[in-house]
Amino acid sequence: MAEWSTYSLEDFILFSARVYFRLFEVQNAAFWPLHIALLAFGGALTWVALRRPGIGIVAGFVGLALCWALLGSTFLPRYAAINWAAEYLVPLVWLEVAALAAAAILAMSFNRGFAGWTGPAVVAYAAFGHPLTALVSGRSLQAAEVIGLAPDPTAIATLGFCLAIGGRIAAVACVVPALWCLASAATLYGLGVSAWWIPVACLVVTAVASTKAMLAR
Amino acid sequence: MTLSRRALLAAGAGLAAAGLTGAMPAYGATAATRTIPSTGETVPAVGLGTWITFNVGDDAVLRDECAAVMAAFFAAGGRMIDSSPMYGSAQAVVGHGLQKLEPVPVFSADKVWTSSGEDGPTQVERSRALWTVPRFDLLQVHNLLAYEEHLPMLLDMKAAGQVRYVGITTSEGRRHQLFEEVMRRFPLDFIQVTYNPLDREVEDRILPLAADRGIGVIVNRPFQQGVLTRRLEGEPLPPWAGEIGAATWAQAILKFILAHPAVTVAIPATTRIDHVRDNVAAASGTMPDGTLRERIAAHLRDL
Repeated sequence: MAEWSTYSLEDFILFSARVYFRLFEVQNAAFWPLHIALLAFGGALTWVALRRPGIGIVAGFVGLALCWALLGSTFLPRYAAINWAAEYLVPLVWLEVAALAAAAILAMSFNRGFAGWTGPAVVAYAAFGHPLTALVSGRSLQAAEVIGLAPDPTAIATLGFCLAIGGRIAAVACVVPALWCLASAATLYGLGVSAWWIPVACLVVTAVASTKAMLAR
Repeated sequence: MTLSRRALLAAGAGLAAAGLTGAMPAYGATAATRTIPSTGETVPAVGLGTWITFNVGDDAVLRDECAAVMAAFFAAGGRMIDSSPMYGSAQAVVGHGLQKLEPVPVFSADKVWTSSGEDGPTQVERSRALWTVPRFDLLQVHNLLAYEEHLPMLLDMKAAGQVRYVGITTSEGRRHQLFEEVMRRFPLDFIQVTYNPLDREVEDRILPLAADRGIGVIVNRPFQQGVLTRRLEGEPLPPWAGEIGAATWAQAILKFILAHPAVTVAIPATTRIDHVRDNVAAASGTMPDGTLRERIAAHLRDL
């Protein structure tokens, strides 16, 4: 019997669910009251995804790039303390910052006007719905996952925004968030967290909507 | 590794001042011990594992909770703590606890876990600094990774007095054939394997070989990483548990393990003070005989 067949997903998870969710609690405590600004940013991002004003698109990509930079410089070092594999994510996060910065530079050439509800809805979920999953899974709001401070809502918001804006560079900027959603779902599943399917569901919704938009062109 | 009575009393006073112990007695409570075959030294039969439970990162609250678990462990008479560079921040968290509780009678057991033989000494030194101990009592090659390079290095360290014991580890029944070969080839003091009433593969060859070669046995994952005890939650203890003085399923399982004559120490991991006390207490009192051990295993198998 191959040795690898004796391993399960749980064997690769080095920490408990409690310790994982405490990361968000500690992160939130360290950055309060930045949350107010981040929630406002989430609202603005949803509006931009819906209306697609030119300068708003630039600001949206810049804002998301700053959120990823904040994650890379504050959350990942905290996460790396319990998961040495997180060190390998640091270059990916900075690649994402670069992709979003490039998207901001090219944003003025994108199409304007309404482009469907899915993208804005995904962004709105990331900004206002995802933090509430803490309550659903029996945690307090002190451990809520907020855009810019926690990776899941940041990745989901990026997927939704890129879907709403469209374009090749936006598609490139979806690669790292998509990978994160898969990794996060695997981690949550390994930890026995019942809400493990949420990042995957967001990824699937975005992928399906994106494919439909491409086929409609 | 012994501490003077004065040091023990001072440690107890320090702990009380730090608000860590409550009514906890000073270290030095006696726990049931086993003999390490290669030297005749005795060591308490229940140790403390750190896989997952002590990987709490830089979280000050959780680090102090781990220190409180360590304090309860030492107060109950426990000594062996086992960790690895693979366990994330666990080594640093153990070091935090040792600094907070110092001086304590710890039996420090750690591992080398790197595929490069060259990196072994650097990793050992880094681990030692994280633990904040002058030297390790036991160093093991984690999952036999690069054992051809690491074991000669560890045996040289032992000869130079830089570590007291040398061993190898595996878990979940992996690479047992190679494990046996290494047991025959190298002068080991300890092996570490997975063993519990449901995972009994080591009974066939590994445990008899360890007994034959005078190698101490450390048992990891006695509760199948918590799966077994979670399955048993709410399950009433059968009447036979009373015959061996087991008040909980965890104690019954530990008594099953410790009743095997080749086993030296079991190292359950926990985040709870009441559990750590229960675990250490399981080594005392009556142990199940062969017939009762089979009944325990059959009972758990049939659940």
